[in-house]
Amino acid sequence: MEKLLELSDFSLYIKENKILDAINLCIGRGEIVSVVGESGSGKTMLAKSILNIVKAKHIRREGRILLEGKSIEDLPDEQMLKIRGKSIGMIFQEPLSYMNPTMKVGKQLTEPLIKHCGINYREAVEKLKLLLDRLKIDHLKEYLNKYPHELSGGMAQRGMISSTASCLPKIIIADEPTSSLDLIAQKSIIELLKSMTCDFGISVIFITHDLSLADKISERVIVLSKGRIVEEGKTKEVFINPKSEAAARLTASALRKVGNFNTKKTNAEKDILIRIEAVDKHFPNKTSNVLTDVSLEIYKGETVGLVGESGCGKSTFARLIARIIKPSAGKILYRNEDIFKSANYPQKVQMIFQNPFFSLDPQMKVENIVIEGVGRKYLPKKEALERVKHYLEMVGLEDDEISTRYSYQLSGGQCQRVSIARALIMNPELIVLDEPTSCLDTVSQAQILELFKRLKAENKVGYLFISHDIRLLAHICDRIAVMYKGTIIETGSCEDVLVRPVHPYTKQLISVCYNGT
Amino acid sequence: MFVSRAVKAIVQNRIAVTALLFLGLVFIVSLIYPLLSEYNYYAHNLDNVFLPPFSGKHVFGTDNFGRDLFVRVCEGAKISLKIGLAAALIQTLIGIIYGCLSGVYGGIIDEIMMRIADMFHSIPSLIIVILLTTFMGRSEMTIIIALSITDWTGMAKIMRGQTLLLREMEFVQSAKVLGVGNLRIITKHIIPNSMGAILVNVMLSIPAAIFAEAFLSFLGLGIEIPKASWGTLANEGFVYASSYPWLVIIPLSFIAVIMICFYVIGDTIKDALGG
Repeated sequence: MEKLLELSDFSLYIKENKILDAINLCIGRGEIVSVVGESGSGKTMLAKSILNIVKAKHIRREGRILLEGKSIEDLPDEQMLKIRGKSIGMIFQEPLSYMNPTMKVGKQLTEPLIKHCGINYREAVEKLKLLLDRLKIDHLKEYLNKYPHELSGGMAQRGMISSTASCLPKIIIADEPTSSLDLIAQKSIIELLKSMTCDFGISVIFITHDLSLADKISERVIVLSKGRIVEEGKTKEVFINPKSEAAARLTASALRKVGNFNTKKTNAEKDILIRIEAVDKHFPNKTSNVLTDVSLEIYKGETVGLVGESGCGKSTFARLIARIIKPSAGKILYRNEDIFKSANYPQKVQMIFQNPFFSLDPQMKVENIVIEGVGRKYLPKKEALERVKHYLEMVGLEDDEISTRYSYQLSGGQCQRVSIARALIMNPELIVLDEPTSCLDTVSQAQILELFKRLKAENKVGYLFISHDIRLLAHICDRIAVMYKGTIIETGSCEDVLVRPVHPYTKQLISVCYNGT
Repeated sequence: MFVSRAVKAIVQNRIAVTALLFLGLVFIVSLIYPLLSEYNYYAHNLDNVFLPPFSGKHVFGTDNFGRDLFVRVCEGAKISLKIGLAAALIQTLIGIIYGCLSGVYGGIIDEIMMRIADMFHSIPSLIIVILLTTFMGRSEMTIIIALSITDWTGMAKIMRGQTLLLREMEFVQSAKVLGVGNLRIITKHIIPNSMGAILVNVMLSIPAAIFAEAFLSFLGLGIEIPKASWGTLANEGFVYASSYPWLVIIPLSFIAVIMICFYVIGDTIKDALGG
């Protein structure tokens, strides 16, 4: 196979720290290579340094990067500009943070096409349309006329991918492009990337922390750990017979995720905790309802899973139950009492958010974050610190130093543990979990799920677990509710929903998850 | 965090350090020199009128009544800096409170509060000063109040924007879920996380307030004689500018240089905090 991109002995230093250590990598034309590794292993830095967009002080690069035999590591910025987008396209992990909030989506997505291919807006839209259709974006005109903040992460990512792919670059570097997407969107993106390589001979570097995803898309995989390549080979072989420790860890957590579903009969008492009655929610300036006629009952001590594609209203539903927003119509009752009239609701229901970094105040120390709900001033200092310590230990943060740190000094998994401790200190009966593991790497994901299970057994707390991944829910929940376009279309025990799905959407969801691509 | 980052940025920037040192020098000299000098800012000495700079003990020369200009510039510095700092701080304070409340409550309350702010913004400070001087007399207080009630709207709008932004952040929402009240959300989450914007705004509104005061004084709407701010000094010197130019050049240079100093420091902070 013809060599397209080659890295030889490439190293990257920031100050004295070696971020990447003697990377040797070779990608052929039309080949898909996955780069997997736990968070912090240098995957993203590798992607960014190929394009030379790491702009930090004290940065030093060694070794060579060859694109079609020509070295590009020392090119001045003006020449790099021509390579970026045209020869090497990049898709980022969080599409929304790479979009200009003041520019309409259509204008933004056609920008690279207009710039690199010298065509006008209308022609660019036609080109985009071909790809967007494949990614199942309906109402194209409406979509292109929106602003980035009106899109869900999945919608934005599909747009970014079409925009990058439509320029027909030689290589696409995809940095965790699907981690914020639901499984159906994930599947369509993987299919698109695969067909791009077949139809146009584009090579793809697919960066992910999910080995099972790597298995679906590529035949060759490179395992990165602490900035070094520790294993390289056929994806199937690495999956079945990992040689390095890092690969073994990744494999184990990927397998655990696929594991069998929970068939235990619910042992929850039939004691209705929260009753949601015919709730509607619509936001001002929006034509259609986000939620329509949603009803659900949550019993004390049970785990209810809520599954649905991105943008279907799952997070809005979570925020309603957590009392952050009010319903437009209908009622939410806590033990037959309207939650907006309940005085000590925070002691009954708590919530954990998706992004662990955003859910902790960057200006506050961990100890103050954890005690916030109780109110530090109502307790003597010693008692307050002891309580913080107790709850931090409960979530597996034994290190004494953690309580005096700030959130930016913690890893994603640690941050999520802190927010769990903050919720637990209120001693709630129900915790709403809004995709609590989707921003974490597979290893911390598995650890956090274990923690949820343990806490449920120890503290008799119930969960409303929201996720786009039905496998995950099957693993941990007693009951599953399926949400589609703002309504709950199906509820039932795990077994009922998974084995005997009624609604066609549920069937589709299950077939995607369990049969793979 | 914001404060330490701002301080670090200033220390690392040579121009900002120079500006800070110069401000400190002006501040200290203006406090101490009038106490040590044998002259004061009000006593007339008609034997020594219009002395040029560096004549005898009069470093900046004397004015039309033979008063030592250096002492008068020092007294002026005290007044100008006092009014500038006080007006900037009061504006910021009003702006923070108003903006936070408007942003946190949102909806129709926000709409009404912002229209009221627009109203205040559209009244020229000149009219308010003239009105206030008729009721309260010409004093430092009048000018501070006049500048404060017209110029707080900028801070209020910035703060409202910050609040709207932070209100949707997950850490503020989780505070809400924890049952934390609006007041605590404002003081514990929104204000600390907006310190960058607040610091930058304070540093940039001080020179604006100093200039506004100088402008009003130059028009004769400033504080009462014989006290004099830099604006008043420039106004008095303006009459004799063709024959005795130093009387107007010296106070004007001080206004200009002090403003530049504050702007340099403000800009350095702004760059450091990415505001």
